[in-house]
Amino acid sequence: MAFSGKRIGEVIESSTTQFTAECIEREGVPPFGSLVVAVSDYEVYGLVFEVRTVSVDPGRRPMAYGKTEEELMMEQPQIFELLRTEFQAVICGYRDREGVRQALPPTPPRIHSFVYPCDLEGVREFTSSFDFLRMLFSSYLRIPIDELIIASLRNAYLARDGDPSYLIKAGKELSKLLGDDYERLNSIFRRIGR
Amino acid sequence: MIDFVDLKVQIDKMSEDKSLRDKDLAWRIERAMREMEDASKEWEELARKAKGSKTSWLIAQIRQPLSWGYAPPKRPDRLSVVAVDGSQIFPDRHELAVCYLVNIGVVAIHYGTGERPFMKSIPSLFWKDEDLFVRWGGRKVHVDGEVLGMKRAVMEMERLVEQCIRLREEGREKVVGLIDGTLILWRLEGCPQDFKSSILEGFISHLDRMRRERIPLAGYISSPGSTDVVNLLRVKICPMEYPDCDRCPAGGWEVEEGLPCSAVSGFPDRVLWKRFLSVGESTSIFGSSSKILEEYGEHRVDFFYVRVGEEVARVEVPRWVSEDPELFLLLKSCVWDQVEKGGGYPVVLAEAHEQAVVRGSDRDLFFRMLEGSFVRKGIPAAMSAKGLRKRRMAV
Repeated sequence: MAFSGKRIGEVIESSTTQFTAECIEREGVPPFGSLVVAVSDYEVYGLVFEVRTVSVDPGRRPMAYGKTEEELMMEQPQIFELLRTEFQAVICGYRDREGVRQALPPTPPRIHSFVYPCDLEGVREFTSSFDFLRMLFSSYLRIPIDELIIASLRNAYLARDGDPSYLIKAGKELSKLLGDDYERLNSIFRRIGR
Repeated sequence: MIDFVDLKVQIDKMSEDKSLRDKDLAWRIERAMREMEDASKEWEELARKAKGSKTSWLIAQIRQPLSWGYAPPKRPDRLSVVAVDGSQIFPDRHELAVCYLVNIGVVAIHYGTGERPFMKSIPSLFWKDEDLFVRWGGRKVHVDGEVLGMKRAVMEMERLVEQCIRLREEGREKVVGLIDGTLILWRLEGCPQDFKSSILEGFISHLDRMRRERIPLAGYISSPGSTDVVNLLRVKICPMEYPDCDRCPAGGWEVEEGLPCSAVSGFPDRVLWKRFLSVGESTSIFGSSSKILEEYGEHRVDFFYVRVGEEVARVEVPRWVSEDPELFLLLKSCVWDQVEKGGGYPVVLAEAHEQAVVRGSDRDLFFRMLEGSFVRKGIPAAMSAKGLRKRRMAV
């Protein structure tokens, strides 16, 4: 098990390469670039690349009230019931009986399966291999690749208490993928380190 | 299909006719305003005259000095507001089965506590004989749209009361209930006694529970068409000491146009009040003289008007609310706060409506589910030829 604690979402759209989940609690929104697990036939790993809050009813648009969130909670509490937050994750691996694989799962997560945040142990386990970076580069989805790499590698680095040797390994892998695009590699690592 | 060429001619004619009438209307409203100013000074005199009159229209009962311009009271910091609204899928001979669906939206919003609101729609399907037929003057007749409307009013009230009492039992001190539309079941007036009693008994028993718990409630009518107060002014300008429409020296309702009292008629109360009230302000309390209220006992309905932005709304309350200053102020402060939050219409009622509303697609899905369930159980799910024809037209 790579996850512990509370479920944060429920899958509402699913495909071989990505899934969308609706957040269960207003506070439980996973950050961009965080690793989440949808538990269904397999434990399917995904990196969150899009979070959005929309109106439950397409015919009703949120409007500005000129109040703080605290004031709205006290005086217009119904509006929070009419919004929902969903997040999209690009699939970058799964776990079967033999362990974690950084490859697309044989079947996508089922609709209505629950999504959990990966715990630190889970993050360390998953990011000990770098094939998921190649999966991101070869994905045909419209995802902000560099930003997602920065966020996910930074999370992996922090899960190892900021061990610099991890970043060195990651750098070697990335340089293979980026070829001679030194500027891009430099930009990515400059931003991970900060 | 509409023949728009033909229709256009009729629309133009109507507009021409209306614009002529509007000029006359402006004059009549002016006159009514002058009469209203007068009436507020001599309200006791007018109350006496109104009490002794026999008119063919409803007149507002003056229950306190006739006045207006009351500012909205301040809402308590902590308050729970409950609202219900309902909608239905009608019994239709041309649809699949003889049944009907009532969908009631219930919303409870808590202010000043940060709690999550309760928002729910409760569908109820009715198909048994006792649901499809009512006693009507000793006969058993099929429920139609109008009868269902009245049954629904009782169901809505029941849900409102249930929810309000639940909140009170949770220990909430300030609770207010709102319902969309009138509290006066005036449609019952022409109904036979057995049907009337069957509806009223339920309705009144729900109101009794609210009274016992001292939870104020109101019926909120947006853009009301009522003329009770304007009719009071008609009484005022009637040359008879005690107006009696049956003995009208000017000829009575048959010659409406030339009557002395028609100088202030032809527009609803809201038109008049809009000229007297600033946003947020309300009028004094009036009593309704609807005949059906004779059977309401202690729940006789009083009302007042309140300017809620561009429009004037009518708020109806049972007498035990209007006569209890604490409950009445709580209710009034709540109504104004709701209207302010909802931009001219109580936000809690708007949300209850959203919960209750049955859209065309919901209706289609309901019938598809019905059909599917019937087919699985081997029940022949036949639609009438006319029903089928309405769904699929050939060329």
